[in-house]
Amino acid sequence: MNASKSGRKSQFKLFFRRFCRNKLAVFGLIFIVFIILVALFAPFIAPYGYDDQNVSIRLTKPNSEHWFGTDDLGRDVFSRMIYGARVSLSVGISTTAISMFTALIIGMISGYYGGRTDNIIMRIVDVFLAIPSILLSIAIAATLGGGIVSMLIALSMGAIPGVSRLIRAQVMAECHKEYVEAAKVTRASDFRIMFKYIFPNILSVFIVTFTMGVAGGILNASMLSFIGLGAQPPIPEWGAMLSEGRAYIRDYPYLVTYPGIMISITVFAINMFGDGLRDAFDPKLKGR
Amino acid sequence: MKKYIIKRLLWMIVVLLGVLFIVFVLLEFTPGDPARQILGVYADEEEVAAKRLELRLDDPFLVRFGRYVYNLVFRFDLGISYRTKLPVMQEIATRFPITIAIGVLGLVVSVAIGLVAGIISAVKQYSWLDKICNVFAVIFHAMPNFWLALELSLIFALYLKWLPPTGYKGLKYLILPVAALGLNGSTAIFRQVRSSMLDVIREDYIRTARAKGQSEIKIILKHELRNALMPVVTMIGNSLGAIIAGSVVVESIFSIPGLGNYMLQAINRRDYPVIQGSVFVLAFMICIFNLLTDIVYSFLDPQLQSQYQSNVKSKKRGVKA
Repeated sequence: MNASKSGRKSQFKLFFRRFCRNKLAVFGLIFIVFIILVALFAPFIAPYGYDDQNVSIRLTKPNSEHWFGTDDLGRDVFSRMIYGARVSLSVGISTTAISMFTALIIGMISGYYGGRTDNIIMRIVDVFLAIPSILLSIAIAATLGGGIVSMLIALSMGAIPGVSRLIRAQVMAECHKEYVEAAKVTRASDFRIMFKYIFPNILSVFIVTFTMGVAGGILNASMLSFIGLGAQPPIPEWGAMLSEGRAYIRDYPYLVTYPGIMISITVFAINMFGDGLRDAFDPKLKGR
Repeated sequence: MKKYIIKRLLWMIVVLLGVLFIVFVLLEFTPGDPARQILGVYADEEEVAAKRLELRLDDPFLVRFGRYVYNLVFRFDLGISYRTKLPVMQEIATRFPITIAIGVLGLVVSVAIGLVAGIISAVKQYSWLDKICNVFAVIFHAMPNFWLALELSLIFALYLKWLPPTGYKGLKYLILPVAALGLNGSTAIFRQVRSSMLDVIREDYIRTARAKGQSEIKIILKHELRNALMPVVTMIGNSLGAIIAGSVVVESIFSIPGLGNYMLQAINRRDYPVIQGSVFVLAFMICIFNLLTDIVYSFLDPQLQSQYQSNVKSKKRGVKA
């Protein structure tokens, strides 16, 4: 018992050491932790509320009182960006959670049972994959009529087909391994084999895909909000802020530049973190 | 080979029917009565009822879906726009070429950048060139394409005044949108080219070629690139999908009267037949393109070719026996 525990610990240590060797990945992790803290403590950090309007100071350029200036309604852009972290992060994480969970079930069933079940499921997935995921999301969000909830549904449904495909391939590769055979011999139930034996073995791929999915989710959410199908005013989503600032881009470019930088850095950090995780899970893939 | 292409063509028809079905189901869930939408808020109940009868909206779901498919296939009819009262197909047809131009040009730019940068990066792995390419790739990958488009128009159209900011009166107006989509799309191709080149570079036959004293350029182009291109070709289909989906927003930023912009306006006006038609036509475009890349791939991939040829041969043998 003790030996296995220390073995597990050293495995984790090795993993952690490999991860730390990638400086960009460590930067990614630090930035993610930072932005999560910012999102959690937004009311304490932000100097103003996200919907505190003051028309007398509308469209003031960045100064000591309003670090990132104010928008067309006199709201503080800096505070809105801090609150925006809440919306963007939670949308990114929750859509990925929904889509990954659904895709896990679909991919698991398809990959594990194979044969006709797999054929039927994958042909349906193929049809969905013919529509680019963001276009599918736009179509679904347009049907449901905008707002955060419809954006969540649209983004998760857009992401499910691609991820199911990926998980199915992983499960299929695992199914041919001996430990699955062994589990079948012990008369373990299919459910038990799928989630108790196979799942831990595809966990690394699952985690990496999840991380990258969050980055993609934030990007796509900002796009939906930008075209008016996501967060509705006055909710400060970064993409929605970009969209509101667009009309003033000629004279007040900071309204567009700052939220865009925020989206890019966050997505960049998450991608770097994901890359680092993948390399640490599988050192053979390093540098690819 | 012919068999493979026919198989792919038949499958494409099934996929397109599936796409139509998804889009049709989506429309079913939209709130509001289509007849009321066409006639406007001020029409009285009787008129609406008459319109419903005329459009046969009370038929069962599958019957209406069948009619929709029939109208599309045999009459090229995608319904009538709620707003302009014009046939959707007609409106799409005038906007379609611009979106194709943006999509194809964007793809050309992204493939060109991705290919050149990918080759340089792989051949000179760990050099400063490789590092610069990688840094740009991760930066452009993290940028939302619509934001990149906005910033490009800010710099090149509003500040430097080199290029027109909005509108469409010739190719010059397409430079910025194509640049935004191409730069964004090139990152995925760059990564793929680089990683498959790196795989190939370590192969034995490259060492053999080098031992034979072949020139470095010839090794790169003839031995490495040719073998590394296979995964890249399949990737190009995906890239076009992303570029076309991106063009929906980018067209609206530059006020280009393409299909994407048309669809976005329809979304804001809740003009569902237009949304439905546009999504279908965009998916159709992507399917055709995927089919083309598959065919190109089948010619490039000797394994696939031999698989189908040996199938034919073994069948012939079977007949003789």
